[in-house]
Amino acid sequence: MAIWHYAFFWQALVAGLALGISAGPVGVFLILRRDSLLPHALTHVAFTGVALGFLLQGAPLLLALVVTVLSAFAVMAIRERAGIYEDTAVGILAGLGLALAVVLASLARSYDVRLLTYLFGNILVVTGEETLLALGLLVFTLLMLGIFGEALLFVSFDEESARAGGLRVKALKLLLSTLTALLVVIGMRMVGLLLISALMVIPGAAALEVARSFRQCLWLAGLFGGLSVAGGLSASVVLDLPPSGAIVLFSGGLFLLSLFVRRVK
Amino acid sequence: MKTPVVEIERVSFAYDGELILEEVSLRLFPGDFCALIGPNGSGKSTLLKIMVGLLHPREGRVKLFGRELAEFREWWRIGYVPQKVTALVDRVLPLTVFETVALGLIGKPPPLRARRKDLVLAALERVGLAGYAPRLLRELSGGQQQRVFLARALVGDPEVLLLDEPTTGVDFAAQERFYELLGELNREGLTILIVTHDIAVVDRHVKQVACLNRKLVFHGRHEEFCKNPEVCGLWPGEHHLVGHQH
Repeated sequence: MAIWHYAFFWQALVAGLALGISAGPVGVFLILRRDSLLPHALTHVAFTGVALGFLLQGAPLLLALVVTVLSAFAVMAIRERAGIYEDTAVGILAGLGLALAVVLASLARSYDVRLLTYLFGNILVVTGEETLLALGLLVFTLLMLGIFGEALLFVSFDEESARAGGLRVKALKLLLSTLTALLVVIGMRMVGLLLISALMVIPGAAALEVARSFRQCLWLAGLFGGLSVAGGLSASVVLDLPPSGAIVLFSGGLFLLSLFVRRVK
Repeated sequence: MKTPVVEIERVSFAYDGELILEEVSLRLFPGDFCALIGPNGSGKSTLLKIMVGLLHPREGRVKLFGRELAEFREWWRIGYVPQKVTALVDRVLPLTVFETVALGLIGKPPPLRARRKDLVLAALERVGLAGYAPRLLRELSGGQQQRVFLARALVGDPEVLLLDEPTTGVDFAAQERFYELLGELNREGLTILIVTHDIAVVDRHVKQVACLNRKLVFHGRHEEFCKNPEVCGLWPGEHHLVGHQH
């Protein structure tokens, strides 16, 4: 029987679409803030949370969420107060996060297949609860971007004027960091910690290439994120490829296409 | 007596231990059109950033519309144009002119936001860019981008406009049009403070001059500034100022 006759395929597709549609627009703001590497660093920290979950025999997903959100806030504070370059703070976080994860995983004696599922993900084994979580994330992301999207644009584009206009810049940055951390943690089971940051950045980069307004850019980023998941998942089934790799490669194809479209326009 | 729009009282500011501003006091009243000038590094932009709360003074106080800066919440009464706005526009961001100007309405009172489209189009018309709303900001010239940012500052109908070297990187003809537009806005009642290091601006466009060189070395009418050899000596050989009547 073909795979699309199985309920788990459709569950994977729904969860993946929710993740891809959420990730694209958030990625646009990260790119505009020259912060494309933040989700990459947060994946390393999320790995620490997972390892901690194994060590404490608790819930890896929940611990990863707590550790990642707190780390995203910490990066923001370090950048503002320690007076170091932004990418240095991200580099330090990524290195320390991974080092701590390795130590914790070793202590928990959990260097096994369970860790690999978090590193590389497998959208086809996503549970019903995780699908609901992804749908909840989609609703939350759309709601936040609907309410604060324009203010986030102002802060990302011209922070000085946004501050001078009385906007609560720190709160808006915290919101963006929280959305990023949520996407990293919820996405790690689907596309894996090593690839979730790509799913956040590549569809946004593709949308920025072809959009003719910022509003259109956000919609296109969501569309490209969703298309990446749907196309990658379908390709993985047809060609018997790992889904996470196929999803990110599909988004890479969309990016190349967008570069081409911009050149010929 | 009218309440000053901006009131700076004995403000000092240091950066990394170096004193940038020393006991500067300055008042701006409704209807003023004042240029804040001084040599590079004289603290002009720092003072402007203190006025809008971007920097906090080490000593002294700042009042906006009679209120202490820490208590001031009516930011829609102030329009702000930052330095080097054209540098903000890159080839990546697909921001339309309409979207750029509409950013100026964020945080403004709901009645203003409800008239978003009308206000944005009116602001664009005011700066001579009617019909440019759907265009991409990155496709405009530096001078046009400058006017888009001015429209963004004007869209919330502010009572005072603060500009930080707004014409940096813009050609001479565009600068002249920009300052003429500021003059018109001032004649319509808008209070304007413009930071510049170009003293030629003083000669041609403004009513008052505040000259800063860590301390406030001059504040008065433009004609008096032009006759003051001490302050003009801060720009040796750069310009020869000739006073004119407004």
